[in-house]
Amino acid sequence: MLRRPTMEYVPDQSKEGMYDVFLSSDGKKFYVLEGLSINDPVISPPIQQFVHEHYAFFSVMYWIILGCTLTYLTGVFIVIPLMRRCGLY
Amino acid sequence: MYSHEIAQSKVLQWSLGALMLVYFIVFSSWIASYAGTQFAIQSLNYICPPYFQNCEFFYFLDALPHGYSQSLLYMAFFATFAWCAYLFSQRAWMLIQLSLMPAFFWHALNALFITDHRGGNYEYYLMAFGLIVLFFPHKEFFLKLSLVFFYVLSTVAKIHPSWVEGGYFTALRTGLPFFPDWSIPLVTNFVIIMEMVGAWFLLSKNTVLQKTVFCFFVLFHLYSGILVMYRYPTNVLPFLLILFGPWYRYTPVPLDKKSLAGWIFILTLLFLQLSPKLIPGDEKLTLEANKYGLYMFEANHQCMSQGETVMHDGTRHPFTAVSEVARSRCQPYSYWFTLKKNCERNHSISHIVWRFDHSINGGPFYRIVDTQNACELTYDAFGHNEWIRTKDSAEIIGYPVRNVYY
Repeated sequence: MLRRPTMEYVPDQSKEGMYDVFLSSDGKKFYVLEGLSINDPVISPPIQQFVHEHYAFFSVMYWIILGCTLTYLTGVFIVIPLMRRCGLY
Repeated sequence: MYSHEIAQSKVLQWSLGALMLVYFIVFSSWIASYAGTQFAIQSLNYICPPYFQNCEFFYFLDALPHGYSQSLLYMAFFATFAWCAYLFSQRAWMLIQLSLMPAFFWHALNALFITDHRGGNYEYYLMAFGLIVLFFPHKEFFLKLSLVFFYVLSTVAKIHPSWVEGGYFTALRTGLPFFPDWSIPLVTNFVIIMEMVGAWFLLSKNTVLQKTVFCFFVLFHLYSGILVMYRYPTNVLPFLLILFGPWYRYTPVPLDKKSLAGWIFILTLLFLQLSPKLIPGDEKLTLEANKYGLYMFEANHQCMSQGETVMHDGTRHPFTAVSEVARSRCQPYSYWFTLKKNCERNHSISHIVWRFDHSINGGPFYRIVDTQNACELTYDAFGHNEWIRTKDSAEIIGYPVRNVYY
């Protein structure tokens, strides 16, 4: 995803009114759809690169937070009051 | 219909008014739309929902200039809303509920069965609020819970590089309004935490916490309106202000038999939101089951659909379509649906060669469809379609540049 802004691009092929294709100096092919510009490269800021490298950690962490929050709230506000009502707690 | 709850609660009376306002806003855009009219069928400009691929039966209305039946229907709704305004002055709550039911059913029918074009996130909000206000007992509690739960559920779609890495917005030419690009992942992760955990404090007894979170979400909706414009804030803000604003009072959790319908509904929302995870592949790339839960800003899309229609006499008609707009979901299903209907209608077509390339969040263009005959394909709405390749099996054909949102 990261691209150096100083890269050079050579027009390769295009479909009139749909997209242009450019070849970068490192051999990558870029599809520039109608209305977009080759001068707007996708650049990942450093924090995004850091999160990208540790994405698995962030993803698992969020699932754990979500699961724990739902479990806690269900327990405190639904399960325990129901058990109390049935004399089980 | 539990109208006595509305009679006893200013919050519910205003919620009923907010519901009517949102139906008014929705129908004011639908009255002039061709989606859902016979013209859409004739011009092959319609998409049925994937779980109801023969929806043509429902297309019986005509929009101007082809006919006036659609205008007539929506003006009947307009008259109903005016009638409801009078009923508000009479405090005839049950009559208002009854009068709004046709709007509820028509809206739900459109959003769920008639056209895939109207299955937006905000339609789900409106259906939930309508269901609770018009039918369920414990209306105030379940209205509050459903609104909070929608924030929480939306984070299921956000546990993805689109939001965790901020890739949705760093791949946009205009970035995130007011925030520099370097800070985008910090902002998106803050929003995830607030929606996942903070939103629950909207239901809190602690006034300071409750009001702080309330102010955050009001600001959040006003800010997000810069991108999403009027429709989404109009759907959510009135309910947020009414339910959690100055009139907020703690509502105990109902656990009686009457509350069962509400709890089943909440569980259904949870199941639907998790359902895309049951299908192999990244649903943001394949878009399979993507719309069965909330999917707001789930990924920044760019795509190219290309191929050739080959006739029985050997002539070939090449076609190309591209989409560079971030919020325009590049559903292979939608493109396939049009090709498939074309095959069914035009018997001189021999086959359609089709390639579909999709990029999300500024990542590579993956060739997720590459078939010699799109006419032979079928689409399974509840499972993975082998002809749609996942990231693991799709070829990278190139890279995108920053795109636009409008």
